[in-house]
Amino acid sequence: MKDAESTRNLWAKLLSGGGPLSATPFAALAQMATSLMPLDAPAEAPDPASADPAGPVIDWTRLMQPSLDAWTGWADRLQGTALSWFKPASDHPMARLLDHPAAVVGGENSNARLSMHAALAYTDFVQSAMSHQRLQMQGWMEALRRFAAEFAPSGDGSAPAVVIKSFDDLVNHWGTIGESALQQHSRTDRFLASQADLLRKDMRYRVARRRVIEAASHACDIPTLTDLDEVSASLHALRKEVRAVRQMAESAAANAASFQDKPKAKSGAGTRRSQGAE
Amino acid sequence: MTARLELDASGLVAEMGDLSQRMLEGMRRLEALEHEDVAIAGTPGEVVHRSNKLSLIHYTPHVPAPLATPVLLVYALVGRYSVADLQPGRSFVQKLLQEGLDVYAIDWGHPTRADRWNTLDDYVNVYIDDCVDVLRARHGVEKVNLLSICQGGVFNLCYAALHPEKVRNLVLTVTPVDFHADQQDDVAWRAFVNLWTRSVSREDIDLMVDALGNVPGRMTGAAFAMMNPVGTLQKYTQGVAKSLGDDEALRGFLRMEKWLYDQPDHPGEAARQWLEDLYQDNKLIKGELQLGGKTVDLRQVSAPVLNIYAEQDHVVAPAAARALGALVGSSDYTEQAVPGGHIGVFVGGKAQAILAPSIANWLKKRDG
Repeated sequence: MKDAESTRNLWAKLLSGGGPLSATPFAALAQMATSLMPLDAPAEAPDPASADPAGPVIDWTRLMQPSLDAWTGWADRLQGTALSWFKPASDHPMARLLDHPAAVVGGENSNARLSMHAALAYTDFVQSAMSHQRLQMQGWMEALRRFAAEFAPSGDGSAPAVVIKSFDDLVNHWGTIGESALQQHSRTDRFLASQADLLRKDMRYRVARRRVIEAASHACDIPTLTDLDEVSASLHALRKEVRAVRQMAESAAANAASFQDKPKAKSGAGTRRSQGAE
Repeated sequence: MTARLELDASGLVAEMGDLSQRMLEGMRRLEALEHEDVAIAGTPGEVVHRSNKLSLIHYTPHVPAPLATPVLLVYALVGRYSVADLQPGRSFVQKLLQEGLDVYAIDWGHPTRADRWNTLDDYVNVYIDDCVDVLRARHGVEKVNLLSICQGGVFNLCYAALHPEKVRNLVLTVTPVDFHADQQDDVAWRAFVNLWTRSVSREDIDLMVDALGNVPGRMTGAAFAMMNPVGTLQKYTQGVAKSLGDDEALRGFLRMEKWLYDQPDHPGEAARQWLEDLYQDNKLIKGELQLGGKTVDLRQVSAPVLNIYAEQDHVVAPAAARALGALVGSSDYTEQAVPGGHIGVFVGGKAQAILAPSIANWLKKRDG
């Protein structure tokens, strides 16, 4: 019992306010563990006849609460709320970690660093996609609203422009109204900006993901897409050079042939005279 | 209120009954369908030249003595040339052959990752130039007729400006020349690609090309489908339901889908130039477009030009095509409007009756 008490006292010191472990989830786990440790061991063995047949009652709620509080508190201390992990890259705790001066350790191209960049890029892409989807829905809602408005009474007694006599007519009319509404919606600055943002975030994620995969490939001595692109770029440049050289050779051959076809000048003084005449 | 419902129960029931009947017949038609029934690009011809992924097809002439100057048909890199030869009775190529022309077509094939470095210079000054030389050698002529569709028209226009000595006549169809002309008429259903490229930055396009290599065909296909979102949905509901009731309509629908989903990737560097130099910077009409170190000067186009545009074109605004008239150097310039959309002018019944005969008659008057 003395050992249990001294252990408990030790934990109490560690876990007390300001103690090194007080602010961690370990604290909560330790509290849970120590609360299960018997404080005062019975001097004698308990009388089996008087013991509760159901066994000792353990208040799990009381036991779990410190753990839950500790985890929540830890996350809160990290960034205010757990939702901060879904913030854009510009305001993300991981981005701040990567930007920290101490983050020079490990190097820019370490697998861990590249993976974190890819994770940030993915978060950004998902947020942009969700935002764009919301905007798309607004477009469809507007299209439906306009379609419904087609059948509202005008109030001025004017004759309707379209009379719907069949289901086919109804669908055609929806096509006309809906298409116009969606096309107008897709030409708004907001929509175009959202689409551009989605493309940008998608491409950045693609590039970041590829860097992770290529780093792993290089580690296994496997050629990557970038390596193959470099090869095909070289081939493309070489083909152009070969074509240029071939064209020069053909041109030179043609010039040589036309030079040989010209009538030869006479030798000696006659030659000079004929040249002078030219 | 601009619409009034006058539906009655018996009419609706009859409509649903008719739809059910069509669906049942359609199921039977689908069961009986064979692969040959939806074959496209079936006009007989032979491949006379290959280069990388490119195949140069020479179609078998339909007349004993076709026009002396051969015609080279150049399609875009977006989508495939087979739309010009979609099905018997609706084949632009066949109609040209029936009009007595000797027709060749470039099949660009399916670019792979290795083709991502191909530039517009490669397409104009290497691939098209080689094909032109093949035609010149085969027919013993100094010059050929160039016929073009959309982006292929821009290629041929550049070619005619850079190699005027090899071009007898130039025919452009649905070809954009002024990539900012869509701003003249703010029509919501037209020229979305122009608007989109102006809404993204140069860095965005560079990032896209660097990340993707080639611009995926599925991406451009989806972009075109989203220009008509409701129409695209209706095509697969109402449109399919209607076509199931008729053999030819069903086959025509499936052939069109076959072409639509045959979407080659667009080589990256060519896409970069296409989107940045043309769509964003509009360099062609400014005389700033550089190919192979040379400036494309439209005033150097001396061959007669026939410029055909589609009146209901949702991709290339008529103004974008017609801008050529004020820029081209040729003294023989003709414009012609054809009813239909960007693709409809080649596959639609009304346009088919006009397009090929117009082109053939125009070329025959200028042969030799």
